[in-house]
Amino acid sequence: MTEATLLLRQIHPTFVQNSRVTSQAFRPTPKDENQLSADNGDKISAGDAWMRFSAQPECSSAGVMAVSQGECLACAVHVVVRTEFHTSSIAIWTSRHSGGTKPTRLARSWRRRRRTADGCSKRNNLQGQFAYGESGIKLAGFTEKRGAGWGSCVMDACIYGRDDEPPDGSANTHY
Amino acid sequence: MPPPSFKPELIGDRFADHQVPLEVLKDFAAFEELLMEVAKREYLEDHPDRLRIPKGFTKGVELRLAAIDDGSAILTLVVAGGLALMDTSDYIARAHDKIVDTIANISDGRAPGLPPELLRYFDRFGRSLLEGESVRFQRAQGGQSSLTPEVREQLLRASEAEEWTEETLLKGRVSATLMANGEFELELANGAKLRAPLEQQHQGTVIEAMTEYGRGRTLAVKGVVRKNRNGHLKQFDSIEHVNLLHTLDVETRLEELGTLKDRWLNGKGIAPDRARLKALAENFDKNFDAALPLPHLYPTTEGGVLAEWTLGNWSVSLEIEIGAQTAQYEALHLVSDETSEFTLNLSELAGWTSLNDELRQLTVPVGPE
Repeated sequence: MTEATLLLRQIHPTFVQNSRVTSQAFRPTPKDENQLSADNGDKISAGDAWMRFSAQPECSSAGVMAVSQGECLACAVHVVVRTEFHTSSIAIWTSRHSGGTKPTRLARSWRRRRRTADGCSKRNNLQGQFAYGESGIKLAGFTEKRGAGWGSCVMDACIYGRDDEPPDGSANTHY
Repeated sequence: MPPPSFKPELIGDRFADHQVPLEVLKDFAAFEELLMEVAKREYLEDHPDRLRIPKGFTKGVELRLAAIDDGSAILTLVVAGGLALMDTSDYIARAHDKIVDTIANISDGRAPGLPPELLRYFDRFGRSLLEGESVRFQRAQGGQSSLTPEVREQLLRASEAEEWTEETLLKGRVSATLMANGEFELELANGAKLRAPLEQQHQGTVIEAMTEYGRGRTLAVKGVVRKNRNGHLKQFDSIEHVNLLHTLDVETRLEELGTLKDRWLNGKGIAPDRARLKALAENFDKNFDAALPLPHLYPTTEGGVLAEWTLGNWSVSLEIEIGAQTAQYEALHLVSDETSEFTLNLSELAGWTSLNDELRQLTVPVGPE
């Protein structure tokens, strides 16, 4: 993984209303132990990740959104391999520093990102912020504009990738 | 013999304060037709030698609303008709008793009494009743019988009719207008498409809805819809009114969230309770300031609702616990990081007033100092 690696997150259809994504999309639940799952963009494309995810029973996604590894590093966010979840490039994004069941800072950072990305979309004639998704959600321009407008976000989260050795020898790797 | 009179009682919230919506009175026009038809059958039963009823048997005889009395709303219906009544009043009274008995029989799981072709009058009589409403009749031998939407459906099933009609309000997207046929097509959330008559007074609204099909713009259509015995909706027979809804219409969005099942979020997530969502929609409609922007609404994994607004540089979220009707308000200034957080009690007007006041402050444009 490099700083340009995109970490891809599936967005449930109910988390989108009128092409606007809720801040919950980046807010893990207590049941998730404050972790968010994502795919390693170096290992799988947004389209393939979406199709693979959507093909699973009970799984539904309106599209894929992403944050780059470099942005995470800049924000002191960690990424750890979680191969026990998937043989492919599943990554988990967690809010380790939130210290509770309400990762407020993470949700807030998404709100900033959404606002900036909305503005970016208008300026660059991009329709929404999705990298890939169902018909009706426009995708153009995402990969060309990766990270555009996202630099100011302060992530209170960890992003886990799959292809690095864990520092403690376990299955997980902290960047 | 004095002319017969009947006192059906309408039960339900809409009939409080002795008031009756006009659309419900339409049902009693169908009741009158049924009453006359049954009276004719009663006459022929008494006169088996006759092939048909006497000419003018019910001519000029009609049912009139004389009063609405105390009670939920008790109608006084009198039979008027001059000289003709001398021959028919007894049969009309017997017809009333037979209809009331038929309703009671069906409710008790017995054979209805009236033949199937007469039961089809219940397609219109009782059609305007809403869930929880009923028409209660006094039985001649004592006791009561009640016509409810459920009993009406049982009567219609017993009528052997292949399809019947319902007065309903449906929401969907306009997928097509067929000007040559004078029709349009309403696509429901489940993908079903219903044809509906396109009245001239509705054309502008319907066409506007169609042009915004791609944006998911929803049209609310109230009218009479035809459905078959399996409950499948077939088409609109008539349209009473159409209403193009806001893209963020709260009631519509909460209805959508009400279709979620447990484990909706990729195997996790509690489904929000439908009755509580309905109550929230009603409260929102009643208490949220109509001058304020509508929120985006999302389900939470705990079975609640998250409302979000973007108001200039302010990002506002309201996490609503729909059971307790409490809400966690948070406003974040995206530039300065200023925040405002507190808990609201949405079961009380004061909670809604606080919400309105807070949002109003954030939406006021800042003028030059």
